[in-house]
Amino acid sequence: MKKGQLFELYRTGIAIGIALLLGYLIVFFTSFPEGALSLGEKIAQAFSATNEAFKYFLLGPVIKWRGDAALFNDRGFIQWINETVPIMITGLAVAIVFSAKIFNIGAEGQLFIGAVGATFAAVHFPAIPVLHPILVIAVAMLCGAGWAVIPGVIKSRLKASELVTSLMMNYVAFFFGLFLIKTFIRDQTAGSLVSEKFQDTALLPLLNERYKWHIGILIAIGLTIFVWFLMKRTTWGYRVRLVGDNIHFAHFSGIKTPSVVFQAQVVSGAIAGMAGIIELMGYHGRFLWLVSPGYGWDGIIIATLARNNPLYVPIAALFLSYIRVGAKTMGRYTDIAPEIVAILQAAIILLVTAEAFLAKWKQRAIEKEATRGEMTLEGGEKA
Amino acid sequence: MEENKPILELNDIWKVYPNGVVANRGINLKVHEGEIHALLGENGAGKSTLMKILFGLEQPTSGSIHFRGQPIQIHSPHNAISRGIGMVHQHFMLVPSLTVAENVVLGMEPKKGLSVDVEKAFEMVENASKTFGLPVPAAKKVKDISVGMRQRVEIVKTLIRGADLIILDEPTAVLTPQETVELFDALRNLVEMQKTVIFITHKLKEVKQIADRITVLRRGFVVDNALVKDVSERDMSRMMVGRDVELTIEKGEPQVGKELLRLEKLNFTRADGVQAVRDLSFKLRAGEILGIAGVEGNGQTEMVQMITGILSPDEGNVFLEERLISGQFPGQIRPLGMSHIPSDRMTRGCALDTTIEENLVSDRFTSPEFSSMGRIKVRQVTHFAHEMIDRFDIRTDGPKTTIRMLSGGNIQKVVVAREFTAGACVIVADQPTRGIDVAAADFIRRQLVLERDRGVGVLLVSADLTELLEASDRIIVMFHGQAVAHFTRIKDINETILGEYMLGIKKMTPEEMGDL
Repeated sequence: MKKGQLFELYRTGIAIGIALLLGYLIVFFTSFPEGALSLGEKIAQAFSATNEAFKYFLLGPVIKWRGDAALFNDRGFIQWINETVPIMITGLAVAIVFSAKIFNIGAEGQLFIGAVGATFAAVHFPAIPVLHPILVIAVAMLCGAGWAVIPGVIKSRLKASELVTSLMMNYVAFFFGLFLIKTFIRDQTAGSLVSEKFQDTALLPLLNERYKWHIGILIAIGLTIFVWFLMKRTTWGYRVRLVGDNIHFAHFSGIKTPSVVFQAQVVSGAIAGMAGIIELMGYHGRFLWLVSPGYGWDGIIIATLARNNPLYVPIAALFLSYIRVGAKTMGRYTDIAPEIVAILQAAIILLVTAEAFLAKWKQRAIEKEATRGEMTLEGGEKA
Repeated sequence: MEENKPILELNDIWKVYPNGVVANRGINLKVHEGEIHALLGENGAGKSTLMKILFGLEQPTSGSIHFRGQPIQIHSPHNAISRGIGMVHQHFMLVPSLTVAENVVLGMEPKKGLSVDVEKAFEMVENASKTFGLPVPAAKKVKDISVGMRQRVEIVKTLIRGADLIILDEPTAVLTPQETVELFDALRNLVEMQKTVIFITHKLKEVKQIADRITVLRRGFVVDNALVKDVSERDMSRMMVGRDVELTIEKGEPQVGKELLRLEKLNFTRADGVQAVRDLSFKLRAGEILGIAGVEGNGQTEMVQMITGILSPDEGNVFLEERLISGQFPGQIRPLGMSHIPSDRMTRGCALDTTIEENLVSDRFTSPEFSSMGRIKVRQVTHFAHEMIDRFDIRTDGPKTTIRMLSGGNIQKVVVAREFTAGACVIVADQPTRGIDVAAADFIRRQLVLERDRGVGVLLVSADLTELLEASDRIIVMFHGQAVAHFTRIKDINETILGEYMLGIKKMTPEEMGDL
């Protein structure tokens, strides 16, 4: 591992550490008991309550306690893995556009519209085993990519910031998508607004029937390897990264930068398009979102944590869903609100993205390097 | 003249920017109270950085600042102002839609209740301009007054904030001759009131007219300081452009071949209306190094950008081996046999967060050598990078290190390695050794000569005259966008002679220049 990467690893680790400490302090102060106890007793009680809460928070997703015995929590584990899948996929999608320094934050809309489009395929396409789910996913990718084309074209034709247009497109996707579901494919027998059930052939195979552990994680891992290969081993990915690192230099090296910027958004859109439908095909078996699931936003967090490196995306996604499942577990067993996790997320993102955080270390190393050999020249130069 | 005590002393100031560029290398500077101290040096010599440090816009990497005998640290411009250090920037920091008075009191407005006491503000400004002998039209809006007047407003602005030391960054660059005279009168007036002025410039005539003392910077070092009355313009020119190190590049007679590059009557006017290049024509032949000398800002940048496809000329053409290339994009010109070492290597020369090996193949990664069917042959790329690291002596941990981790000299070697191995017939080297260490610079110069001996045509644009004199086979001097001198016998000239043409003291007739 190179110096720069190692530095980023330390930085992320320290950021997570600080955030956890902050969370611990908040829980500690919120569990401070009232009443006529002495201060020492109050502190002791708050400590034990906080430690209890953090036990569930940090270990809950993988361990369950039955009496004194600590057992493997298979349900929590499967929930953790299943929740990782969609945000891992959006993380990959966002990593691609961010690598090109394009601030397209349309993953949420792309995954929503992808899921809506693919719902039609899942309900209406011929029920051919194996082929059917592949087709459904392909439709989702097409819809996501198509949705990403719009800000891309507006950007290249009218020079409108993709940040604004892709954000706006998220709302359009949401309301347009719900309209389509409601008008064409609503399950009239259900009490709430959901689509008709997917055909059985459109569902993903399960690894565990009881807790519905679907093969989405395998797809996500496969996708990670694919995106890694695409970004690090192909001329296409090289162009995207070079444009992101220094667009003037890329142009100067003979790369057609507008085209690269456009393509990166479309490919990212295709990948984001899969994120939602995979969860629907694996877990719910129908379209049921009445609010946008937020995985697109999570993708931004994950890509940022992973420094846009596809290989780190699974780690970041696993981490994020782990603290979320942990927070939910904590909420079930204690009276601490699971929303605490939002504070932790915010603190981590803030510290990771704050370039100045610990940057002095780095600067010192660079200064040393740059002045080495210079100091000795001073005398000779004045000749 | 009686020697006043120094008001400002800088000791061993070093400045290393985060990207590893060393701008100041142990600067010592003493400014005496009540003097006009000219800071002389080419662009890139480190003047601006030094002044930014004084005004709190940058922090020095090491070294100390003493002001009125006290060691101080200047954290911010605000901090500088409160200590009595004021700065007038080259680009004025005024709000055009506000009146002169409002601009002057901005941030320290006299209040009447919650609103600004306009009358009081007027009074303050009028008083100040009377005291300092700098009349300004207090009621007029800044957008309606002339450039010279705006500058005066800026000076009043610093004075009213209690500045005793005023830094003027190339103040005459924007002035008409008449305004310059007025400015100088005003400055003399200030000095009589025991104010101290630091005057950044590279116009020697003005130094002679106004300054008491000069300090000359070159490549981040102080080369000399002297009383102005003791030195002539010629002396100053020599100090500014003089010899940094004993440079000797061994090279034989050039084996000049056919014409490769031809510029025909190039003209270019910048967006700000300045005609940067006028009627520039010359030829570059195979096997020669053609040096371009000139103080920066005399059209060299625009010329290079027109040759390499970043700018399109307003008039005139550029031909590469008889093919018209002006108006085309870099991506189209490059494959025709043009390599370019850009003067700003951080912008156009490399991608900082990308690895060395990837930077080395940025122009050729689609060639069958390095990729097939869209897949990059990483092993070949790495292998090639190892070769380049050896051949161009790039000091690094390995080809997978990002460019950001390298020193300026090594970054430049990466750029050079790529551009010299592209198989080009013409290499445009724009300030190829600026801001890099001596050993790396020497290495790069030798490589230029090697390329020339292989029959490549090299266009060398450089502010380092020693380098030009040592490396070039011919030299053209540019002044105000035109070719003003042409030397074919380099052995017969020196920095002083070049300096006289560069600074506009002399000019050759077309007959004297001959066939460019």
